[in-house]
Amino acid sequence: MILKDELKLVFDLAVQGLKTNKGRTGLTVLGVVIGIATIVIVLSAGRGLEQFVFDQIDSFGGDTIEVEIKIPNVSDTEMVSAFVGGAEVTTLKLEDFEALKKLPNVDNYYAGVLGQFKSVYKNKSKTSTIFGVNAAFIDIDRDMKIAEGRFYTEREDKSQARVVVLGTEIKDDLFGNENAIGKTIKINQVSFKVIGIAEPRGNVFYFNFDEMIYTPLRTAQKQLLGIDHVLYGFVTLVDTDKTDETVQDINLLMSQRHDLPPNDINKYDFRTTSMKEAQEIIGTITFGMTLLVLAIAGISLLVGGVGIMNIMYLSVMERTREIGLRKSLGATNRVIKAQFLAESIVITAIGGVAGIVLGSIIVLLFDIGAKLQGFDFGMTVTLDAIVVGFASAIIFGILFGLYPARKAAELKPVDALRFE
Amino acid sequence: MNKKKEPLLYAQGLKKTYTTGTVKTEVLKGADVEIHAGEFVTIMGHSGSGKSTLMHILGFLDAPDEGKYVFEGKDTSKFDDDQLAEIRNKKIGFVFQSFNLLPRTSALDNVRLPMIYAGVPEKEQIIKATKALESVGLGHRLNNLSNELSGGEQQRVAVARALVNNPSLILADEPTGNLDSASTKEMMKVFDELNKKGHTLVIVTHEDNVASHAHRTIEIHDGVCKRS
Repeated sequence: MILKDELKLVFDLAVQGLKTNKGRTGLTVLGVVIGIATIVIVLSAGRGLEQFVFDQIDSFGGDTIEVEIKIPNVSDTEMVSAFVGGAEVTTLKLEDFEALKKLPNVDNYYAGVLGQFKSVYKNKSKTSTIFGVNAAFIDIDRDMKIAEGRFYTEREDKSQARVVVLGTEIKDDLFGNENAIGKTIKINQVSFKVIGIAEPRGNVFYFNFDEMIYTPLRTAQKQLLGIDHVLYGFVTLVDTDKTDETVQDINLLMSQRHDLPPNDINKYDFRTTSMKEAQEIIGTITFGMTLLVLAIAGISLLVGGVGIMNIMYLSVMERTREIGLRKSLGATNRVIKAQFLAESIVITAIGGVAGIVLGSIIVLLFDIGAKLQGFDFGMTVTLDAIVVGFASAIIFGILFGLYPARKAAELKPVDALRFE
Repeated sequence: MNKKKEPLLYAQGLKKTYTTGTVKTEVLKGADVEIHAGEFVTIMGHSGSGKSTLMHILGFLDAPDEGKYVFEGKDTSKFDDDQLAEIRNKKIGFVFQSFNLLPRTSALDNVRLPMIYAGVPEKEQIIKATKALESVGLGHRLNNLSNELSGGEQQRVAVARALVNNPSLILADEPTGNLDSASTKEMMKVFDELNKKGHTLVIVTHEDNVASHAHRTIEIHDGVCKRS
């Protein structure tokens, strides 16, 4: 017999065998579908999440260095609880950033303070985050865009002008459909003029930019908070290849200005983080997360696989008499084995394709759902998810079809025929 | 019968013991059989006498523990699995008591099955299967699924399946055991016709009216054959 004819024969037998047992075939396929869909979802989700986190960092500026306040000589967790408990570090000043700007590789900076205040317009009020930041913010933060009106200027900042730019949500909360530009709102009893509305931006790290009110840094410091320090700032670089050297320059200059020993980072009252560094850390975290997620996928695949094996096994048991008949009609061991193997490959291939389709639909729906919630995961079904999903389907088909198929083929015809 | 002519098959001193747990049952205790081409033979005996086991051995579904079995002049004891499969496919046609058709499969496809394993081209399969079904009076039932047929019809499909590869020997194990008397009569008519056309038939039965159609009967008693 020519190989091609034999393949066709085995395939025909397999299809006939599967049709003869439609109900069980359907159930087996369902098991495979769920297993493969899980793999596709998990792989796509892992990839999407990683990309999402990278994009978030990138939106803060991929070529920037952050300088923020820090409590000297304590661990990060102690510091968080200290800040929650009301501790303040007041040593980081605007003047520090002015000095940093003079460093050779530093191009520009913005520095900021945050506060929670109640804003009032006519009979409407809303408590939200006030973000005091200097005017360079609009140039540095790429995702900050003005939809209407304008952002404030350096001059307005220096003169402590009482002007604000509103996020879209706080604008809607206070003004509804009414035009807000030129109107006056009261923040903590102080009058501010609305000069601009920001474009919607959504959540970044659970930080909702759309409910934020932007006001000049010095205005926020003097007229709302009554302080002269800042919480943090970002400096932009001329040459991003020299990021590491610039971090060292900043540490040196800052420790001089704050009278600190230059080489003992623990004693610093500030912390310098380059975005490159942050991306590397996040990369490590998401890699760990992907591994975890793959382990879960592996388990679900194994469970699905055991299900496939079970059903293939049951199928052979139930069809023992049929195998006996086939052998009595002249089927060789090889043809019987090939038929059962082909059946399980056909089952897993159908299940694999359906699983990929189902998984992709779920990923798509999840992505749409997340967008509606303001999270742009940009989750897409990646090629490797499809390849891994389909390959594991076929491998499981062969793996879990082979043993029962061999067992079936090796039965003595008379024993198979007598089987009850 | 011309006894000097080489028989289609002969077996001498066939022994077979089954072991269930620790209990050993000696089913065949040295059975001798000889069948000539063109014969119509029935094997009769009480249940447990070993008649089914003898038929399974003659049809290569089972192998004897001891004894010699020569089929078409060849000693079969050294045949491997593939050779046995080929003999079952080309030389033997089986009819079982419980019909053993593939469920939810058409009469035509059931009859095609032995030809599929023989590697017969598809067109030829259909022509031959149709002819075989017509020869057992089922020309009008080609595309009916096996479960849509009556018992008598199902058994006739099984007979068509048994003869479609034109085997040297048709073996039937209690073929009328699950049929009513009308269907049994029809079945026997089919067997008579097949024998007239030259097919060699061996039928295992315990019904005298079935045995009365045969040229001779081999009585098997307590694992040993007695010729009548």
